[in-house]
Amino acid sequence: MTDAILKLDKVTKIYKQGRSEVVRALDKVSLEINQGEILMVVGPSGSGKTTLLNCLSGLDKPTSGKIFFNTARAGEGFKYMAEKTSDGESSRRSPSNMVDLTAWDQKQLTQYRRHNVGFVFQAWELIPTLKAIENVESSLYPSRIPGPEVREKAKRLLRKVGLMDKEYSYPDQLSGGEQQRVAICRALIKEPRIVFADEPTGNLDSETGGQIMRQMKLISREGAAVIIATHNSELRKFSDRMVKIHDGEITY
Amino acid sequence: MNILALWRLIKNSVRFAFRAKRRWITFVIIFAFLSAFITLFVGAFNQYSTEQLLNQKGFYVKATDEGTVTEAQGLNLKTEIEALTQVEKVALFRYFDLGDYIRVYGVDPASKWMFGDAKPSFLINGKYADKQGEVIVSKNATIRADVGTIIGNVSSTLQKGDLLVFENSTKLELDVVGEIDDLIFAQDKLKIFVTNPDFDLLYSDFGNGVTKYCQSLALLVFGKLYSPFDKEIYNNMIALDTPGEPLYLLVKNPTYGDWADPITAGPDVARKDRATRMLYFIFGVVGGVLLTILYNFLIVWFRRREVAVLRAMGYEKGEIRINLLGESFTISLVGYIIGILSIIIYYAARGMTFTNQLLAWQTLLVSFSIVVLLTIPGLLLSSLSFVRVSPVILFKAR
Repeated sequence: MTDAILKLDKVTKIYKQGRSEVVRALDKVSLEINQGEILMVVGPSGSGKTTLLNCLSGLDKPTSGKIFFNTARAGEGFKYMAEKTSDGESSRRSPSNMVDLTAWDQKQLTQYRRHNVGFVFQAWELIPTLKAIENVESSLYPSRIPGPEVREKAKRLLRKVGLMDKEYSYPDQLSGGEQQRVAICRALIKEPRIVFADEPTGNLDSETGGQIMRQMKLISREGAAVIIATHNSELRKFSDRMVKIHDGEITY
Repeated sequence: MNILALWRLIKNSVRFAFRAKRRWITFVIIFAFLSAFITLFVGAFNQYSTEQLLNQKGFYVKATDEGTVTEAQGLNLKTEIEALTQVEKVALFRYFDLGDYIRVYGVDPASKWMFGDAKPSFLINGKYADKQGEVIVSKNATIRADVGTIIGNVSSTLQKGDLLVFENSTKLELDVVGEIDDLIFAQDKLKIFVTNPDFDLLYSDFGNGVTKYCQSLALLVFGKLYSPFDKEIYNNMIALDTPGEPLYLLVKNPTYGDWADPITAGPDVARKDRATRMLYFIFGVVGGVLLTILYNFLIVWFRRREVAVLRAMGYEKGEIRINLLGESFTISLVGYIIGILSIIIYYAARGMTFTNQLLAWQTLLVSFSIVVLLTIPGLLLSSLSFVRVSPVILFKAR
C-alpha cells in the first residue's frame, strides 16, 4: 500500500479577476503527501499557497487536474460514497484506493472534511461566543460521541498544549499564542488524518511560533499528515519536507 | 443526522445565543418593536374588519322611534328572520326604562359589533361590557339624585372606575368599565349598556313590570368576508336587499312593530373598506413577513464568518442552519414577549384597558406566527446565500 494520503496530478486553478484579467493561482501542480509527514509549502504572498490548501481540503475545486485521496487511510466513520458523485458517474478509484476528490459533490466533500481534515487558520477563527473548551468541542457537536466523552477529550487536549487553566476563558481573554493552541486542539479533537495549517505562526512572535510548530510536529508523530502553508522559510527546520511555490508553480 | 447530535446542536445553539450580548440585545429590541408593530396592525385590522362585518355582510334594522317595537314583537321578528336561508346570524338589542332617568340596553358580548349604534369602536374610554357585573355608560352621563327607589352611590357624572349600585330589597352592583359615544338619541336619559343576563336581572329586580322595547336588530348573511373568489356573500346580500323580498316583507309587517327599512352599506363604501382592509393587511402581515426575513438575514450576516469556519470543519448545511436557528428563534421569541408586554404596560400606564380587545387570541396568534414561527422559513431563506458560499470566499472577505 502506498504511503501517500493525498496525490495531486497536474492541478490547475484559474481565477478571474475583474472582467478580463485571469490569475493562474496553481499551474499544473503535481505532488504527493505522505501519512505522518510535515510538508511545508513556502512561498511569498499571492504565490498560490492558500489556494493549494483550499483545493486539497475540498473547500475549493481545481479548474483542471485531479486530487486523489487514499480512502484506505480515511478516518473512522468516513463512508466513501462513490455512487453519489455530482456528475452522476462513479468517481475514479485506482487499485490503491486513491479516489479523485475533484469528482465529489459538496456533500461528499463535507463528509471528507468532517472525518479526515483538521484546519488551523492564520487568524485562528475561534468562535468568539464560545469558551476555549467549547471551541475545541465544537468540532464534535454534530458527531455521535456522547457529551461527557467529548468534554474529556477536549480537556485532555487543552492540558497537552498547556491550557489547563484557560479552559473556560473566552477567545478575547486569551493571547494570540493561546488562541492558536485552542485552534490546534479544535483541529485535533476529531483525530484527523490530514491537518491543514495556513500561516499558523503568521500573527505570533518567534518564540510562540516555535511552540506552535513543535505542537505540529507532535501531531505528525501521531500519524497525521500536516501541510503547512507559510511565507516564512525559517520554519523549515520543523518540517520533514519543503516545497516552494511561486506564481502557482511548485519548485523543489 | 443522529438524534444526539441534533439535540446537542439545538441545545448549544440556544445556549450560546445568549452569549453574544450586544448582538442579542440589539436584535431582541428590534424584534420587540417588530412584534408590537405587527400586533397593533393586525389588532387594528381584526378590529376594523369585525366592525366592517355589518357593512360588508350585514343589515341594520332600526325601530322607527322610541317605544314603537315591543320586546315580544322584536323576538318574533328575530325568529322569522333567522329562518331565512341567506341569514347566518341575527342579534336583537333591547332596552327598558329604569325609573324616569335611566335607560338600560342589553348586549350580547358575542354580537357587540352588530350593535350599530353602540359598537366597541365608539368607546372613548375603557372597554366594553363583556361579562356580568360590568356596565358601560354613555359619554358625559349624569345621574339624577331623584331616581326614585333606586340609589346610585356615584358622583354626579359617571365615569370609568365608578361603582353603580342598585338597591331596594335586593342589591346589584355594576362596575363602570367604559364610556361610549353612542349614536342613540334618548333625551334626558342616562344610557347604560349591560350584558343580557344583567339586563334581565335589572328588569326582574327593579323594572317594576315596565314594557321592554327593541332599539334595533342586525343580521349577517352567509359568506366568507375576505374571499375575492367567493361571491356567496354578495349574492345573499342582493337576495335580501330588495323590496318585495322576504326580509322587507317581514320588517314591514305591522305584526312585528314599526321598523324602518333595512340599511346596508353602499357599493362605494364597500370598495373603500376593501381598500383600507388591504392596506392594513399589507402593512401588518406582508410588511411583518418582509421585516422578519430582513432581520434574519442580518443575524446570519453577522455570523457569516462563523458559518465559514463551521463549513470548513465539516458541518453539513442543515447542521449550520440549526446552529443559526437557535439564536434567531430565541431572539424572536423573547422579542415577541417583550413587545406584547410593552403594549400591555403602555395601555395600562395610560389607564386604558382596551387591550383585551386589541390583544384577542387571534391577533396574538397571527403576530406570533409572523414574528416567531416565520423565523424558521425566514432564516432558512436568508441563510441560503451564506451556507452555499464557499468558505474560501468568506475568509477572503475579511
